[in-house]
Amino acid sequence: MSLSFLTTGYEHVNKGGLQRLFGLGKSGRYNHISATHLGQLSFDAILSSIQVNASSTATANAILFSNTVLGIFPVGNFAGDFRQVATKKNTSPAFANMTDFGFNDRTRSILLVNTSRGPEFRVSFRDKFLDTWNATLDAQLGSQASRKGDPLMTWAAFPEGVSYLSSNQIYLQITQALNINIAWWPDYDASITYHLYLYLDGSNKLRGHCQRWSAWVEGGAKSDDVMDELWPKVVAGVSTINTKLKENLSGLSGFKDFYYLPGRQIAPTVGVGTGTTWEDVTLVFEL
Amino acid sequence: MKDKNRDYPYPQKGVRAAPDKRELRIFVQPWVHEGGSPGMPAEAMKFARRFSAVVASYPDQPELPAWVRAMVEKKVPVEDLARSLHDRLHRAPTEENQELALILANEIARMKGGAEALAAHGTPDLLARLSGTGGEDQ
Repeated sequence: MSLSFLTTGYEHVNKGGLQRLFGLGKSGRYNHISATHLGQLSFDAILSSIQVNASSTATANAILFSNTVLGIFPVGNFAGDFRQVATKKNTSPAFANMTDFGFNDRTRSILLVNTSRGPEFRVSFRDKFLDTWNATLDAQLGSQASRKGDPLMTWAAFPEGVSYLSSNQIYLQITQALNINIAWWPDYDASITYHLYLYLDGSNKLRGHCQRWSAWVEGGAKSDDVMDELWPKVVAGVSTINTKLKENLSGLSGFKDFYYLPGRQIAPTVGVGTGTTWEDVTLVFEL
Repeated sequence: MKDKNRDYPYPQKGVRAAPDKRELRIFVQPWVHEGGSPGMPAEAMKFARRFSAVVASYPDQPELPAWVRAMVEKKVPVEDLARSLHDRLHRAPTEENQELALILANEIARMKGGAEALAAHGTPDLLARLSGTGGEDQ
């Protein structure tokens, strides 16, 4: 584990109070430090400042996640609002007081990422797949259900305890809110979710498939009836999505490696970046 | 960095607008029905193994080596522990010692006076030994 870079988190601003050290190996892409790990280090939700030391081989990134959205709703590790502190290789360390970025004592999980080891090409998940999703879903839903706005196009990074998903992988997640129209009855809320797994095949072409699918319908007298109608469409949607993925990803080939960053990061982050995981996911290809 | 020869070819949608509380309530609901693919295509499995290989977890606590246990049993000052860590890394910057250093540094940081001892001995050495040329205060 020869380290690429070392990061020091501090309990107080300006490097005060308790400190904890985290590192990422030169050959590694990610080091994921969950809320459980931070708790074991007595460092859960107390970080106020951070220093990210430069690497000699990559841009060093420490991404701090709140694990909540709107400061209220818990969403698990490596999700929700985030602040990203980055420093280019062979440069000065990046230091930031999180009080300056509205993130004091909000860090509940941390992802260390080596980026920009060489030339990269970055693509937004929303830019690439939103139109395909909307058109496909509108054609599939029929008259009884309709989309409520854009889907949430996010990631499930290192998910723990989720059936069919590995805690060592990152998945794209699309969750779509639906309005269910029932004759002579109030409308129901529902949602459908698909987890997609993307990978480079033996010819370095990007491919993908649907790994997990799920649905939710709001509670009420008609819930079971609504789910009985909706669920077969969710299952049938899997093969449609697989077909659409194949068409949609066909132009992406000739890459050495492929990984993800949270939010929309078509341009690399330098210094401190701000985002949320609901905004987008960035697909990064090493050329 | 973006490849100069590869222009961004997609219409830009911008970020998704923040969901309102009603939307969020829908988005964070636990699923009622779920299904999934129990396996993966062979090429996806191959990529998954490659991906897993570059994902590190925070090092699990290994059994402490005898020299550290001996120092702890003797209740040596934290300053001495930090200095020993420094010397050990300097003499033998092996992979095993580097991982141990990261764990020990966090343990030292918990002790009274630990942060100061690390600043004097542990942290600069860790930066020098583990972070290539990127350390400060060296």
